[in-house]
Formats: sequence, C-alpha cells, structure tokens
Amino acid sequence: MALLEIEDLHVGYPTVTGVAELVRGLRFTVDAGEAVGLVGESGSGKSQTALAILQLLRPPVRILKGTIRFDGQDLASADERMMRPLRGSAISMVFQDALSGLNPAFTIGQQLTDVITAHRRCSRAEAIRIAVDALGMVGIREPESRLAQYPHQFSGGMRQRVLIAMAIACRPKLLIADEPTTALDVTVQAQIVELLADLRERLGLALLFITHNLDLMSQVCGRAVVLYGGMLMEEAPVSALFATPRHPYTRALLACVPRLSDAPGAINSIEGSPPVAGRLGPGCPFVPRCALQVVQCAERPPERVGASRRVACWRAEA
Amino acid sequence: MWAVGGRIASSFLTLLAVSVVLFVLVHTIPVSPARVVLGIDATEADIAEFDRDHGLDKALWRQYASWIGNAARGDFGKSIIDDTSISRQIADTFPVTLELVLLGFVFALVVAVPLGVISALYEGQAIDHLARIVSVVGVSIPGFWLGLMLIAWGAVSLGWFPAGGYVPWRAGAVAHLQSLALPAIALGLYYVAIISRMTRSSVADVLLADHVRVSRAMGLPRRRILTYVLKNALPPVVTVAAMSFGYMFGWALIIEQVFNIAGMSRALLSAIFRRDYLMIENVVLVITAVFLTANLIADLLYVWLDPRLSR
Amino acid sequence: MRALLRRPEACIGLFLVAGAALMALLAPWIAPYDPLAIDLARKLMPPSAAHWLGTDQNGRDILSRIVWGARPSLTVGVLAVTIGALGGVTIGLSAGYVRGLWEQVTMRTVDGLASIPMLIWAIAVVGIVGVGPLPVGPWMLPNESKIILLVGILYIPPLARVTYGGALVESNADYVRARRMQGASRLAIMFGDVLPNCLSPVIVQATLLIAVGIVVEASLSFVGLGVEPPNPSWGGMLSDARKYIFSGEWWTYVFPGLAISLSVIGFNLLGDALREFLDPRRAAGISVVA
Repeated sequence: MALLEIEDLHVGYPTVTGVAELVRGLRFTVDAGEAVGLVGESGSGKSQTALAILQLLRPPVRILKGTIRFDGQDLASADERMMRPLRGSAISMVFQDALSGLNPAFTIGQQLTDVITAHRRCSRAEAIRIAVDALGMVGIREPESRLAQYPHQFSGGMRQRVLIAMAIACRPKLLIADEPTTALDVTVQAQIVELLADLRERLGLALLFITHNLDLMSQVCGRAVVLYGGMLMEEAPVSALFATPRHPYTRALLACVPRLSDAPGAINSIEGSPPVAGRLGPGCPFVPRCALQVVQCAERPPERVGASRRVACWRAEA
Repeated sequence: MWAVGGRIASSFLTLLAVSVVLFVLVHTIPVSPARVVLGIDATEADIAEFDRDHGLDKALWRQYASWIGNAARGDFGKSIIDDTSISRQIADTFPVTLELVLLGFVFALVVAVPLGVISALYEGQAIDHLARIVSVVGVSIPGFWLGLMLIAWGAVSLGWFPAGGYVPWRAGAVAHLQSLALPAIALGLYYVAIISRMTRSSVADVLLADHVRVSRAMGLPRRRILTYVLKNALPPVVTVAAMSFGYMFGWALIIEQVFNIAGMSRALLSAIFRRDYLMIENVVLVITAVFLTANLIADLLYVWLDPRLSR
Repeated sequence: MRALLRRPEACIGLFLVAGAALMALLAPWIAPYDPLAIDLARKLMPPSAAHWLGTDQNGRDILSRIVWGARPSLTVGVLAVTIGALGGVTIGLSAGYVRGLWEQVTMRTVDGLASIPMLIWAIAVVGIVGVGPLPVGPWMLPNESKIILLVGILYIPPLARVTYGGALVESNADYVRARRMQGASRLAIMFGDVLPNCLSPVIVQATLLIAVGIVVEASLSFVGLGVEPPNPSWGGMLSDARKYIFSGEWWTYVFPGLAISLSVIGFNLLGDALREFLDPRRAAGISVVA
C-alpha cells in the first residue's frame, strides 16, 4: 500500500485576474521505503508540492483543491494542530538552504534536542543520546563534542548533515529532500546524495527527492516523476526513463545532461523559457518549446497509463 | 578579546577628548569666572587673588591635568560661587536622575518589546497599524509637553498623582513611586516608540529567515519557535535600548524641570544661571561619561549576544 | 511625486509640514495680532471669535504667537540640518571615495562626535557661552544660533554615515570606473556622479533630523536657554503656561504643544514615506540621535 498518495493536487494563490496555479492537478504516490524523484526546472511546482505536503506553503499560496493522503490521513484538509506533531516526526524535510537552515543563535545540540523533545516524552539525557546517535548516523565524527558548537563552526556540507540528522532523529516514515545539495560544492553534493541513499536503506524510510539534476536523482531514486508547469509530464522507473524517454520534455531534459562526449565548454539547455504561473491555458504547458506540437496540444493532454509508467502527451504512448 | 579591549580604550579616549573640548570651552569664554563672582567693581588685584586662590593662574595644561586627575578620583573640586563641594552636589542629585532614567527605561522596555514583537507577528493587521500610530506619535510628542499634559490629567483632573516634586524612599515606597510615575512615562514614551520600531523590524526580518521555516518543518511548538526567533532578533534591540538609556539622561533634565524634581537638572541649570562654570563642566563630564558607558555596554552586549562574534 | 502622494501618511505629513512652513514664512500676513502686543485687560481669555486660541497671561493672542513661534522652531530644525548635511555629505562622500588615511581620520572623528549626547551639550554650550544674542561682526545673531551651530555639528555623524555607506557602494560601480577611465576629475566624479546616487538616504535622514531639531529647540526654550522672551516660541509659551495647569486655562498649554507635536509628526511621517519611497531596502533602518 502507498505511504503517500497525492490526488488531483492544485496549489496556487489569488490574483486580481483570477487564481494563479503553481501545481495543476498533480497525482502520484510514494510507497513505504521507496525513493521517488520529483524532477523539473525551477518554477515547475516541485517545491510547492513538497511544501503543500507539510502545509508549509507561504501565504497567500495555498492548497486550492485535492487530497494528500499520508498513512491513511488526509493532510490537505488538516489543521495546524494535526500537522505539527507530524512535521519532523512522521514526515521530515531537508531544504536547499543548507547554509542558513540552522539557527545561528543556538548550539546544534540545543536545536537537535528541541526537535526530539518536541515529539517524544523523554529526559534530557535521553534526548542527547538520540541526538548523538543521529549525528553519528549522518557521518559527523565525535558527535558528543560537537553538540556544544554553533552552526557557524560547521562547514556548509556539515551543516546540511546536521539538518539531515535533525530530520531523521525521530525516525520519519517519509523524508522530503528539496534540492538538498544546491548550496553546496560539487564534491560535497555527491557525499550528501550518498548519505541520503544510505539512510533510506538503513532506516527503511521513504524518500521524496526533489531536484532539477537528473544525474543526482538517478543515484538515489528508483522511480521518477517529471513535472513541468505544475503538471505531470511523465512518470517511469528511472532506468526506463533514461533508456526510453517518452515525453518530448523528458527527452529535451535528458539531452541537457552533460556527457563526456560533449565538446568542452558546450552548455546544453532547452530552447525558450519555462512558463510563468498563472499565464497558462488548459493545454500542455510545454507546447511553446515543443518541436512535436500538433493542434490537439491546446487541450489538456490525456494521461496514458502503461504497465509501469505514465505519460501525459498527445503524441506519446506509455 | 582584543576587540573588546580596543572598544573600551576608544571610549576612554573619547571621554578624554570630550573633557578637553569642555575645558577649552570653559576657559576661553570672554568673561572670566572671577569677574562673574566678584562683579564689575573688582580691581585687577582682587581678580588676581581670586585666580590664585582657585588655581586659575596656573598654566592651562596644569589646570587641565589637575582637574582630570582629581575627577578620576571622584573629586570634582569646589564651586567658584559658594565654595560648596561639587562632588557632594553631584552625589546628592545623580541618584535621583538615575532612578528617574531607570524607571523611564523599564517603562519603555516593558511596553516597547511586546508591542514590537506582536506587531511583527501580526504584520499588516489591526494591532500592527496601532503600533505604527503609537510609534509615530510617540517619537513626535516632546516629553516636556507630555509631562505637562500628564500633570493636567493625572494630577489635576484625577488627583491620582502628585503634580510634581520628588518624594524620597524613606517617605514611603508608594508615595515615592507615585511621584516618579508620571515623569517616567513622560521620559519613556519617546523610547517606547524607538525601541518598539526596532523590535518590530528586527523580529520581522528574522521571521523570514530560512531557519524559521526549518523549525516549523521540524514540528517545533509555536512557543519554542518564538523563543528561537526572539533570541536572533535581540541583538539590535539591545543595542538601541542601551543607547537610548544614555540619551535619556539628557531628556531627564528637561523632565525634571517639568515635575520639579531635584535631580541633576537642578545642579546644572542653577549652575548655568549662576554662571558656575566649574559646576557646569563637571556635571556635563559626568553625564557624558554615563552616556559613553551606555554606548560601550551596547556594543559589548551585541558582541556577547551573537555567538559568531563572541567565540 | 504622484506615487509618493498615493500614501495617506505621506499626504498627512506633507500637509502638516507645508502648514508649519507657511506659518513660518507668512507669519506677518497670517497672524491676526501682533504677537508681542500686551493687553492686560484681555488676559487669559478662553478661545473666542476674536481670539481663536485664546490669550495668554499678558493678553497676547495665542494663535499669533503660535504662528510666529513656527519661525525659530523651523529655523533651528532646517538650518541645523543644513549645517549637518553640508558637513556630513562632504565628509561621508570624500571618505567613501578617497579612502585610505583620510577615510580613517574622518570616520573616526565622526564616531567620536556621535558619542556626544546632544541635548546635554546643547544645554551646556548655551550655559557656558551664556544666554543672549551672539555678536558676529556687525550682526547680532539671536541666542538660537548657538543651538543651531551645536546641533548642526552633532548632526554631522548620522548624515556622514549614510553618505559614506552610499559612496562606498557607488564608488565601485561600473559607471564610476568608466568615468575615471574617460579621465574625469576626482571632484567631478565625486559631486557629479557619486553624490546624486547616494543622496536618497541623506534626504530621508535629514527630514527626520529636522523633527529632532524642532523638539530640541522647544525643549531648550522651555527651560529658558533657547528663544529669549518676549519673543514667541512654542517652548517658551509652554514655559509661561506651566502655572495655568492648576487654574484650568487649558488653551495656554494645549495649543502650543499641539503645534510642536503636529509639525514634528509632519516631518516624521514625511521622512518615513520618503524612506519607503526612495530607499525601500532600508525601510526598517532606525537610528537614535537623541
């Protein structure tokens, strides 16, 4: 059974001319212990989807419609009183701003134990033990001695590790990682991704990995959901997605992944620019940049469902 | 540590520079102190004798050195008008002014900080607009007029407070505090406005920080998040508050006049109208020293509160 | 301008400032009576059709004294800020553009100056020099000129700092480098290119400092160290009115206080609106100067 089921999710905010939708009718699931990649360019609605799951959308942005079923409860209509105990406990999140994600005025020990005691009835000594344990698990050496340190005494990669430790300290069932490596050096990026893959295996948690980087995604995830303009374009096992991309957008995206065979200095990117929220018609949002467009593309593309994959395109078969 | 030592040293240097300016100002005025005391009929010989008695015939730098040397030991010399001890006068009046300033300061903090925090939390809502109006009006009403209006309302109309005068502690705590309540409010309102504005903007900045979103995502209770935010928002507020404390000594002198309180304003203004230069010089030196200390404390607190600077 | 006036606070501020300025400029034509004319037969009259705001203990018309009292207040506020701006902008601009030793010396001096408590020094300087007109050459400047000079000097630090901050940024901007490459002279770049681009925060700060100057003048006049009686000043009128708090002649102390407060509110609102309009980045910036 699926741990997380998102059904017909719409996220947006009111404007003078109507509602601007950032996520438009999204549907996907994450099974317990599974790692799913949510892929798309900036502005594709992937971060808004993540924030919607935890009800952390920044007003006026809000969930307009749809259900988010987690472990049998609907989170889309849950209130703050129901959400707070879930956050950081059953569902955790790691953000992209690794450098500024920790509170500079408190020691990391304080911040970690505060999260632990917010969710568990335990003594301070017990909370410290859990904190040390979590720090060890994310690969921080001599964790006991680092509890009394402040965030500025850690490097960027180490801060992200601390944030991950904080996120897993209460053993969540689902960990959402929203571009967890963008603020970091390339060498550190690989380590963090490796850590996430390792933690998923050891703790058996499900991972929703949000990224624009297909290469990083493929190192962790078994399945990928490709978003564009707030809509699902394609969903497939990662291997199948790389081998036989069906949607023109997925193909374009894959063509952008740098290869060793490329001429040095060549930068690959999709021509045109991503769509602006609120200025989209009912049709496929990729049309303006699509080489294969036909007349029907002005209407909402049908979702073609195959054995293990889905694709939303008039010109493609699942 | 070095930075702290340097900051303390620079405060000392500033105080020395200020004392030089004061000294030069007092000793270059066209009318000599002897003339003021002895009157226009005094002969040159009388004046020379007066100057000798009061050490005014020595070289200027010697006069300066002995003034500063003695002042550092707490001896401010004697009034040239009536030979009373200036140190005594300052010791009598300073505690009164200090208490008025402290009460005004506490009033300002107790009102301003919660007001600022609440208006930042409810940005754009009714309470925020109210706080904004309070802050604009608060910085604009001169304290001495507010004092007059408070007397008219709280003392004359309602009769809850005395219209003026200073009731010492030993005459009863209630009467004592009653006598200082209106002056403290009149003195503090301006700083309610200043400090609440600073608090509001500082808290509003921190609320937008990434780490606040992380705290929310980690499911911390609201109260805990608030303490997280406050500790981050505190340093600039503390700085402004400590500086305000220094500035309040200046306004306290005016407020003391409104309420007829025998604080330092009495020492200073009576000295001014009697042209008691040494008295003026020393009172101003003391208040400037207090002011510099407040600024120094402001800076040190900032360093102490921010873990990035203190370790 | 139109965008600025769309904010209600800005409109109120501008209205109040314009009102105070018009009173000061047009006092001889607006004031219904001679502000000095004593008429003991008509003393302490409540507001009436003849005397809209009543009369004081000498039978002088309070409205006329308020109108004339705007002059010393605004003069102190505006001239002190002018002195502070001339000094502050020159120092801040040159320190930010020239850098090096000059920057160190000037900005250290500015820091030192900033650690002088304004009000107490204004009291002290007037006290030491003595209350009374100040002879300068053939002219006799009124007692307030001492306040203007001292407050003006103490206004240099805040204005120097905002200018310095802007000058530091602008001096490294590409267009300034380009002008240097074209061989433009230092002074031409400093005043022609850098200055206009860092003026906004100076204007904002100056507007707010005028408000402070008005309060300082009124406070000093209140304790008898400012405008000399019988010349009308708002602070002096309040000083005269103190004893009538107990006998109920409310118009003597309410109206002059309102005059001060409203004009100060005017400058503060205008300054805030200008800041949000010209300099939105620093919309929260707060400085204590007194």
